[in-house]
Amino acid sequence: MQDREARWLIQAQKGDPQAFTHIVEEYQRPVYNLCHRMLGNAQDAEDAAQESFLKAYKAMNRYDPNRSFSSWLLAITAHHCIDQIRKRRFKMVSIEELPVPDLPDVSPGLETRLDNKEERLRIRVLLDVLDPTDRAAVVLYYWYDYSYKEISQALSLSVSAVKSRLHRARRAMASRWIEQHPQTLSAERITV
Amino acid sequence: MSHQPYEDLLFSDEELTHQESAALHEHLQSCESCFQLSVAWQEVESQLKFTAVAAPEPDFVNRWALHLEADQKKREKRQNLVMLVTTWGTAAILLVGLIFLAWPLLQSPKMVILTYLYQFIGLLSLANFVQGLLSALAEGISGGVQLVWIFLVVGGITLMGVLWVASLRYLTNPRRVKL
Repeated sequence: MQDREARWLIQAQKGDPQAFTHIVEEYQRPVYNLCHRMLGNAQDAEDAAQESFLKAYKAMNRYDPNRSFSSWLLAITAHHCIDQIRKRRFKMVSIEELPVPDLPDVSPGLETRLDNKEERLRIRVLLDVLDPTDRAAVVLYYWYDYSYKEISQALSLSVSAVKSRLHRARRAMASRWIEQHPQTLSAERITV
Repeated sequence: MSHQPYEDLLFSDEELTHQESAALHEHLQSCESCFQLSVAWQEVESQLKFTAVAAPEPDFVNRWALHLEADQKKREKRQNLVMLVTTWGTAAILLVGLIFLAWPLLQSPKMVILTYLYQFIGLLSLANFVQGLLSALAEGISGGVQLVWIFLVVGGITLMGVLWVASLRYLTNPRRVKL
């Protein structure tokens, strides 16, 4: 698998679009997931994922084969999403006004679909409170199991900055949760 | 009371020591806001850890291929436009230059025609002078020097020229330059 990927990467660096299409096939899910967690809806995530692959394709001659390709690709994607969020801020649309489009669902039951939709909305509300770079750090940490060092390389930050951003993000998300679920938390206090 | 040290412990993902854990537990018993933060963070963390990876709609790769094709067409179009603008821009600049040069002619053609005529006559005089000089030189050479010497000198100059060209080619040969 790795040999095949290395071969595709070499061919893609020479400008072979077919080889890069194999890479797209291989990495579509992690790239799309990062975009979806960063941008919060399927349409923007699709556009951002396509654009991130295009940026990576154009920058293939600058890719260092000694570095992990997935880290390099996800760094491009994270930076692209951060730019998109900053551009989007001018529009000032509230999170509640945004639609929650249906993703392709593998589960058959209606209940599961509703659960997934609720889950997506909950996550979106939590992540929406964060600054774009903090959001990228959280997504890379919790969905991709990136270390502090890997996050710092992907987002061009120092390791200590990543730690403090994650700390701030956790605090912000917990506060948001309290705002969203005040009754649940009071009930928990009573039961303790 | 400062809550900061307890919040640091609460949001730390490093394993707490027994002392830290006990201190945090004791604080949470007495502090409502930190307790709420603690419960909320546990909920948030479980959401973050167990939410599934989002997948794109089917045929993402085909859409990528179309996206790439569209981008390449757009780039070609942009290049063509740049080429067109450059060509027409250069043509426009040349036209403006030409008009600028021809402006005096359009303003007062008589003066310009007279100036050119004067320069043309001067050129003819110069050509006449050079012709006279060359014929005088040829006459002097043919009268004073024997024909055999002329052949020898011309032949010598030709030979030197051939040698010069050959040595130049030899020296500028890429293999020699590399050494």
